[in-house]
Amino acid sequence: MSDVKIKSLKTFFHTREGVVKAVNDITFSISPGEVVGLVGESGSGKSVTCHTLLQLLPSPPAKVEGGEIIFSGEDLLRANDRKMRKLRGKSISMIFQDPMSCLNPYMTVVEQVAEPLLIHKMASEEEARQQAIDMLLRVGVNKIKDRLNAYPHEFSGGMRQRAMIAMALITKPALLLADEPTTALDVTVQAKILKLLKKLCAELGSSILFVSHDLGVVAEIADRVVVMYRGKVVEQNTTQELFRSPTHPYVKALIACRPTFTGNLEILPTIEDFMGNLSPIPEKRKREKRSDPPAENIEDWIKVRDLSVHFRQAKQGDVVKAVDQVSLIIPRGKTLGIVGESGSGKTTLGRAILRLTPMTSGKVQWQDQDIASVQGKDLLAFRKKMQIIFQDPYASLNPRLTIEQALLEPMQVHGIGQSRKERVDRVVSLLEEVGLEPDYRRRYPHEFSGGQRQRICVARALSTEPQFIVCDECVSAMDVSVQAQVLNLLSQLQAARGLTYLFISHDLCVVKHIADEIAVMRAGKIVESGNAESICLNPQDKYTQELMDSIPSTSRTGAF
Amino acid sequence: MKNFFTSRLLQAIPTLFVIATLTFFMTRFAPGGPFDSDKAIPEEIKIKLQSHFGLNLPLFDQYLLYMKNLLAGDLGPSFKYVGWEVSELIQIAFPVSLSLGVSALFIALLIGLPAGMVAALRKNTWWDYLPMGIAMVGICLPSFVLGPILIMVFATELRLLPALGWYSWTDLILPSLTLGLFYAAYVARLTRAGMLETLRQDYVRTARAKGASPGRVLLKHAIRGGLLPVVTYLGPAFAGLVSGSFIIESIFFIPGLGKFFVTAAFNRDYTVVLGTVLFYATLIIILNLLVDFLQAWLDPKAREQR
Amino acid sequence: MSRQQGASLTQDAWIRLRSNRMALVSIILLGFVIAFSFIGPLFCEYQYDEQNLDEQFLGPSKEHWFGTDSLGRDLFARTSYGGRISLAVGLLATSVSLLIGVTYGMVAGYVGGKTDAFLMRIVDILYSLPFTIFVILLMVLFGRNFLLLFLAIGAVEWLTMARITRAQTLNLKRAEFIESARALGFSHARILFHHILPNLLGPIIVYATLTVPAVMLLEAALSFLGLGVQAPMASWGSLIKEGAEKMDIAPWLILFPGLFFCLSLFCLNFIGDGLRDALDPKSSKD
Repeated sequence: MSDVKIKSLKTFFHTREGVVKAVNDITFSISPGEVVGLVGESGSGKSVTCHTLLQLLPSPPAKVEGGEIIFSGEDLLRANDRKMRKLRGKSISMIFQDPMSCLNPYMTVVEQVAEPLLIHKMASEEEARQQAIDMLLRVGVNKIKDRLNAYPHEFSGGMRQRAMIAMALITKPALLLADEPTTALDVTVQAKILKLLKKLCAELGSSILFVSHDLGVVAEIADRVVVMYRGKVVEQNTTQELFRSPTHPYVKALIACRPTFTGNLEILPTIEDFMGNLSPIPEKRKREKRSDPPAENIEDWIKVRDLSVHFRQAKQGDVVKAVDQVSLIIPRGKTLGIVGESGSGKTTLGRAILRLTPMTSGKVQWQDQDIASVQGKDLLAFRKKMQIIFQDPYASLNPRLTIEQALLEPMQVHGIGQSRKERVDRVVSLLEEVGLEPDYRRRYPHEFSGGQRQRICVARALSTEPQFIVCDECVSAMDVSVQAQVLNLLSQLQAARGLTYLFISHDLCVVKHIADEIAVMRAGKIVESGNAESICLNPQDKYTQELMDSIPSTSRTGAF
Repeated sequence: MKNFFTSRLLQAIPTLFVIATLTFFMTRFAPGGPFDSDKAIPEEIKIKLQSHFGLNLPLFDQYLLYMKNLLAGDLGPSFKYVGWEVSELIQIAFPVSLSLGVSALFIALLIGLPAGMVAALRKNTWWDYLPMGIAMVGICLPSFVLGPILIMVFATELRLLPALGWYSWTDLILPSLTLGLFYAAYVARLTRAGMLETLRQDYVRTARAKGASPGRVLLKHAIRGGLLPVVTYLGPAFAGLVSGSFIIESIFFIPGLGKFFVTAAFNRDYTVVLGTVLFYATLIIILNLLVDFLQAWLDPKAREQR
Repeated sequence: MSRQQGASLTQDAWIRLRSNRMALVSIILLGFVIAFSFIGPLFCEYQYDEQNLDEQFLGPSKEHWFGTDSLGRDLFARTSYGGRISLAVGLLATSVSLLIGVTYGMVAGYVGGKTDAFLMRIVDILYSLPFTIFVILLMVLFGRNFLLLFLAIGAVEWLTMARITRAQTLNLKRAEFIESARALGFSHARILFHHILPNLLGPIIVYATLTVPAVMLLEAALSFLGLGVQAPMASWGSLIKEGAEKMDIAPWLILFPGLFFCLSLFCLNFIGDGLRDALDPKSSKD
């Protein structure tokens, strides 16, 4: 019997600030060979559930306060450490989110993959090594034959994750716990890894508990879905039923507030729209179909011509062409979306346009001046007009400045406002504009949540009254619900202030939602560009097509 | 790895050159000469001595002469210990200091490493508080305080161990303990910090998830990362042991190289001073090279960086 | 969130430090030692260099609280005087090394590129010099000049300070709030002093607090070798040396200076550790 029954599980964290009820009475089960998806946003308790199964939580702060986990007829929570050690890696294996930090940098990959066999005395050293190599080939690490003594840092992210999968499945466990295994991977790699997992586990007869914040990804692989919110299970059902007829408002919200490929909403619904109020869900205005503007009315605005950014690799001396002869036109008052995977050069492009990264060659024409070559006072004048919002709201704010100080400073540098009082008034109105309480302006960044901090970053970008803003993956690190809020804010600001955006992201659905035009980048070059609708519905380039195909189908349509 | 080796060697040569030049001119510009001190020497003999040793030549010529000899491997004769070559003096005195240094290092690692590891594994229990408390006291108790206390307790009162002089191997015990305990304390604290940091890493959690026993987690997974800070510390530790030996040799009356050096400096015995400084510098450079190799061996990522 | 005034990181760190018992005790004890060194002499009738050959080698008594030494000088007065010297050297030398090291490291880290490589190459070469040997050499050759002493000691420590500052600066330079500052058009000077330096302070303060005992140790070692302060000046190091020589007949001569010296080192180390934990809550303890 290799099914798992979790009953009334409670795991609490005893911290200095009080008791955090991370998992608060949850019940679900996993049948043999079944793939169960555990979905939730940050703070939902999904990861903690996963770790509790294997008792991997650090014991002083974390404590299991109740419930039982029945596996093969035994309650895992009552098992002592020795019993658990016999199970870990053998009957129940786990793979983690970040393969770089989760693989031992001081051991070769083959050694690590073979280790579970040695720990559980399932093979001799020679046999284990051979089985490890075979398993690595099976998961698609084809180069292993030439790299038998390679270390983790010599492999790419996708290969490392495959190695982790090999390491977990080599003992043919009954249950595989997967904690956000594809979150850190590119979309095309993610699609392949999901296929691999599903296929292998079916072959080995292992069941999977797949934890993720992304409903779309979970829907690709799971037979049943369990949704968690603030430590409790709010709904569980087969994948099909959950998408067809969700009952709990939170689940409805999760499904609805993700921008989908085929959707056409101007403003995304947010969690608040679904939870709390009993009034009927307001009809969101659908966007007027964006037609190609007639040729004479194209208002070229920022013209990028043959921009290249080359980096010289210190060791080998060869040149890395991060951005290679890119030409773009960013139309005024509209959003140009740049889509690409890691290493495509999209971030470098954004920074180069803003003169944060030096350009090797090229021109950036704006209002009859070449941004690439201005200096001194002229550059300062340009900096006032163009701003950037980054991905990580935690690192984007100086932890030692209050919000007020952070917003006042750009105004002081650019001479906006005649007196301090006037500037403070502007700070207040900026905060209101981004949806934050102005009274909180004397607080420090660490006292705000991630979504709030990103709003502060938006406010700071607006403090110089810019006309052009580069959004560099600025919603990528967020939960779906927060993402929807920030995207809505950006849309509103664009409409109210006539802003122009360069929106950089790896997430096609988000880009399609917000962008009017799209350019697809790969290896430093633009492979395809044009109107957002036409590119997404009718991609011409093979790579673009591959990108589209990699999007989980439920993320594409919002339905199963 | 070969590039690494050659580049460090190449770096060492100008370093030694700079040291030699600096020391040469420093000693010459200091007030006083080798023959100015106590015993009143008749003027003519003084002049004869100076010319014999080449001290009457212009300073720069003396410098060139010294450098030329140096490249040939000749450190010159001592001015004070008549008839002795500097290299001979070093040959006699250094093994003494070496045995002291090695035993101290041995003690430091033998006591410090296990203490630190146990403290990390049994964090926030008495196995942690007690050794770390002692270690804290250890780094605050310099050798010139600890030494006399140990002498008083073990030699004078209990009459267990010999205190001064250098006659048999038992003379080694108190001095190396005095020198070594200080470094044992440092090593213990560093090991504890390094182990704690490593045990928090994600890949250690992965090892546990594979079912590894605590022993295996420690010895196969955590130990390399945990020991790295200690290995990095070995560089400055060697330098510290060298200079610490001066004090120890002074307290325990050990005829080591350190004592020679200080005495020579007092006596303005230029060649001995220069020779000793260069010798120590070379030693430290070689030891640092060894430490770098050890680091590269432990950490595969470091192998590619240089 | 009801209150309007935020709690800065410094305030958070102070709260954490206050809850660290050992650090608190150390601060109090250190305060006591400093008071003893600087205010103590007001309570003592003797001068530190007042000789009285009738009263040699007296043990602690009501007359002489800590006893007397080989020249009949009152040990209480001498110990407090030695404290002034030792603590002053520690503080001054650390300040010197701080000033040089932080500036050097900040410039190297912020400018980056070839300048950084060059500056750090110098540090690497200097690091491999047997500095202590040089200091000893200096002191022997050029006599016991007090200024030279703490300049030389400070020069030993600035290298590590520079390395640490540079590493931190490099980290900060990559942080997105620095990039935002550049995008907002802030000048390099503003970024360095308004944004980078305040965020460097944490590790710098910790390291400085741990450098003071290291410097005091070095000074004491030099004094022990007879190379530090000259009679009639005294530091704890020279007092310990005198005490060690006469330990069998007058153990109090090493006891009191040794006690105060070790106590200061102890407190400074605990405070340094406490600061490190307070400023980075994720480190070692829990």
